[in-house]
Amino acid sequence: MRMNGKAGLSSALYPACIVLLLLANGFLLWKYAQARAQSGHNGRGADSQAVARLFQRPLQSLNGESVRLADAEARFVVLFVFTPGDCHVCLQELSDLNAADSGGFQVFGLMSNASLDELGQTRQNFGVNYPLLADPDGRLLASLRLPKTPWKIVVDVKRNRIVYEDLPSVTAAERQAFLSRLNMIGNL
Amino acid sequence: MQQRNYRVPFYLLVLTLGLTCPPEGFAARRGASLTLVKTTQLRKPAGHVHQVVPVPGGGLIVRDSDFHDEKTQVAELYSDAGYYCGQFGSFGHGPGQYYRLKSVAVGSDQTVWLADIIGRISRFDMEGRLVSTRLLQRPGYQVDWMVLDEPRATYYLAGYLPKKIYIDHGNSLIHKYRLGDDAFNRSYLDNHEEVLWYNLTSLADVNFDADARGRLYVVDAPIMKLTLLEPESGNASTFPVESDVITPVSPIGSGKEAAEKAYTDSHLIDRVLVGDAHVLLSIRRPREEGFLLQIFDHAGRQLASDVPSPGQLVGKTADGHFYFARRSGEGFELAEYEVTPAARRAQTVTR
Repeated sequence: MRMNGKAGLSSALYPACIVLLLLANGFLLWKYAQARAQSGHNGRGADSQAVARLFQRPLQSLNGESVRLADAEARFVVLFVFTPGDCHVCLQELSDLNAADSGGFQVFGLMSNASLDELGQTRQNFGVNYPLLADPDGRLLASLRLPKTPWKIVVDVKRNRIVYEDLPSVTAAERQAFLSRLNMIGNL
Repeated sequence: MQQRNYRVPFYLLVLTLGLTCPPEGFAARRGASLTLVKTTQLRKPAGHVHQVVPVPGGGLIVRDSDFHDEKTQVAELYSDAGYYCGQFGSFGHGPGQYYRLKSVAVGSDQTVWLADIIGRISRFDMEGRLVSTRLLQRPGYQVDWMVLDEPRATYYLAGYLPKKIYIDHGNSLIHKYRLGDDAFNRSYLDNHEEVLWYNLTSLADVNFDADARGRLYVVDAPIMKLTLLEPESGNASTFPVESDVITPVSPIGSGKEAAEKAYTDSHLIDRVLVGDAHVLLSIRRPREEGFLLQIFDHAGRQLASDVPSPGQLVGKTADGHFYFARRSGEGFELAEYEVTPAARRAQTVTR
């Protein structure tokens, strides 16, 4: 079968265009990934640079004291970030985290969009023993660029890096699994 | 063999019984109607009127909760003559703000209570200053409605409180709190099973009101039933809504689109309000084609059905009349109606 000249040209150009488009897409994706890496955001968790900044800044605790997460004595900090509007089942983990606040771990709750009074209510409602920190206007929460709230972040303070992060545990089995996971992290 | 024809006497018997012994609801369902008392022009050029609460000592609080444009949500204060005087709180996530403003109530001390869907109760003074906030966390649920019962030092909230983590495993609907320290007391009523069977949780919206004796009249949007709850004993009786035009909500498939279509195409209960002697149940027609009223007495007997509503049922006065709102000119007409026995009809709304 013979092709005329015009048809032959267009049939050769077509795959070339496809290849060019694929290359252009690949380049854009590479640039995007570079930009994300520079901002420290992997698209699935917290902005690691923002977390590092958060650790250095003074935060207000329930009793009005200034707390710096970087000053934690334990090697690992478990940060539970939440707001009053989060799913109520998810917030039940606030109570379970009392058990994690020992050994090589120190737990902090960061409550955004809530007053100090509401922070106190939360402490009472869930029987929280670890420090709850205030983010009344939600600016800290916005800077962390979390995929969702509540969100758990475990930070190795010594190495200054996030070692684990996830949504809260909803069922008792999931909560137990998280505590076991913390044990594993602590043994590393 | 000759066969006897029993048809004629049978039909005569049915006709006789039908004329002499009408079904219970038949006579009763024509036993009440609405009489216009007065109208007020609300100078509210934009937005909606979803709830009106009179303030002891004068004035009206208007809740405007448009969840399609959340930022326009607001609780506003109007004078009795309908002039705007100020607002309480604003859209937002922080203390004193509301993400989805679900209900407004006013205490006898003129404290304004706002219930946000996230479970935050904000209290304001009449100057619009935030007095206190309360987070409902244990138990925690999305709030649908709120009623103060000051004579019994109680307030109630409505919302689906899951019994086993997720709302599709069964829920309690009404939750009792103590005035003063906001202590949770107990929950009442399981959700209607049809809600779970037919996957209607996306349409569920619990609404209720209290009578002077503290009894609660509870409805859930997709279920055409009225439940009378006595909080003291915990006893509850449920009465079906008798109607010639309302079609029950069909089971909903999965997905957001199916839920949105069901919301648009279904008859859904919008409000229940309790007056001195009557209970008004307002049902939103499909595709926003107005509202139908079902009128009950305090014992749960249906007195009238499918009465076209003169607007959206939005509140009640201290003396047991009902407010209906509808757009009119540059604002809203707020019409005050009383429910009267059919024989006393004056200026009535007819079918």
